[in-house]
Amino acid sequence: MNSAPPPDQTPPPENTLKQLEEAGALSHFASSVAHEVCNPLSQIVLATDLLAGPRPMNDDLRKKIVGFLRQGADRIDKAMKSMLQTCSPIETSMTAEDANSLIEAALASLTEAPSVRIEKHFTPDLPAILVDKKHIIETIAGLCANAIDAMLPAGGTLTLTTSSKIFTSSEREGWQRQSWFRAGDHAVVIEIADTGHGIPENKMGLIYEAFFTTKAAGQGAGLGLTIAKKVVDLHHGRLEISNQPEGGVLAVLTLKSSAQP
Amino acid sequence: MSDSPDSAKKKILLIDDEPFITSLMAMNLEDTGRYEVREQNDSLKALDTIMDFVPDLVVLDVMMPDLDGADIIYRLKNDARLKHIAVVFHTATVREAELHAHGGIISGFPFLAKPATTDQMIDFIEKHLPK
Ligand SMILES: Nc1ncnc2c1ncn2[C@@H]1O[C@H](COP(=O)(O)OP(=O)(O)OP(=O)(O)O)[C@@H](O)[C@H]1O
Ligand SMILES: [Mg+2]
Repeated sequence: MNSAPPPDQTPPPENTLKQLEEAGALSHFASSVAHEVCNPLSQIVLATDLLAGPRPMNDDLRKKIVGFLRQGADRIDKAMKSMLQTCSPIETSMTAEDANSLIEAALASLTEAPSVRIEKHFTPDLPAILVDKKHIIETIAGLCANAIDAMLPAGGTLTLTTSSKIFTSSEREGWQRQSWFRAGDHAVVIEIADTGHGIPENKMGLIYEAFFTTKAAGQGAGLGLTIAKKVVDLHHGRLEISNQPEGGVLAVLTLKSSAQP
Repeated sequence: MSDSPDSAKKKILLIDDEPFITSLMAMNLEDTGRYEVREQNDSLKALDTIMDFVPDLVVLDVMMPDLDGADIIYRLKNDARLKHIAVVFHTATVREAELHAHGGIISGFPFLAKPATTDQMIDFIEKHLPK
């Protein structure tokens, strides 16, 4: 059979992708899962072909093939676990916590990036927030990790600010039924600002999508913000992510608190 | 590893952001002695590499950061110097059943679903190499 002649009038990328979507009829989620599983599978299949092929075996090649197989298997394992985590309900156990201490715990869990300076503007004696400690630490850590990733390798400044506020009027996001504040509600506000490359405005709508990532294969699963949003919703809190006029991203996490410190 | 002169070898360019996949594919394809293979893992350099290597066939991934497969094919087909180059897709985003349903050709370009074995890859390449 001859090769298929490419169409003379190549449609613009949007159309091509659209046709792909219609042809594939796969949702973004399903195709992302396919991506995270089929790529490492491909690696495993090709590694076994190499093992079965004519190439003379030596220690180096054996080591390399074992590495390919192991890394492929690990990646599928990670993808499946992340997918299950994304799709399954999050279990919470609520305790009264101090936001500043949770931030410290989150920072301690991150790998150090020497080129990134960390500035803390903590308000002391904040009112307690009633949260699932583990999930909120992970959420803050994920936001900080995103901020740091956006500043590497050049470096920059990660600024963490905490404050408390009292809502003077009702605020609620139309599409986000679970997350609202009523007049008189007390809250703690955690701001995470970076001086990184920011988020292209046309990608802003995608950042909470499961598996949306701009990071290299193996560097980011694209689940951090998906899970963060789920966790924040569960706390009836609010997460707002925006580009700052002076560059970099500002993430604002607002969580209901008790009235008194 | 080859018994034919290099000039008789078909030039295959693999564009995929996953270096492990391109390096395994390259080794498997080179071991047949029939192909000269080059890899490009940076989608932003894809067009330069095509211009430089002048492959007989490009095997292109769909989902890549920066430029995806659709962006690259769009630019390629709108560049008079490059539009004649044969392109096939190798992708994790299309299922086997859908490939057959569309005769293996979606949006005018042949697709091979990941994971494909080396033999499947070779059959596919041979089928779509310009004669
Ligand atoms: N502070 C930030 N600066 C620039 N881009 C960001 C920032 N935060 C998020 N993004 C963009 O949003 C994408 C999705 O973020 P998310 O945390 O969900 O996934 P990830 O960081 O890529 O992977 P994971 O968190 O699962 O390891 C990122 O890949 C990045 O493109
Ligand atoms: Mg992240």
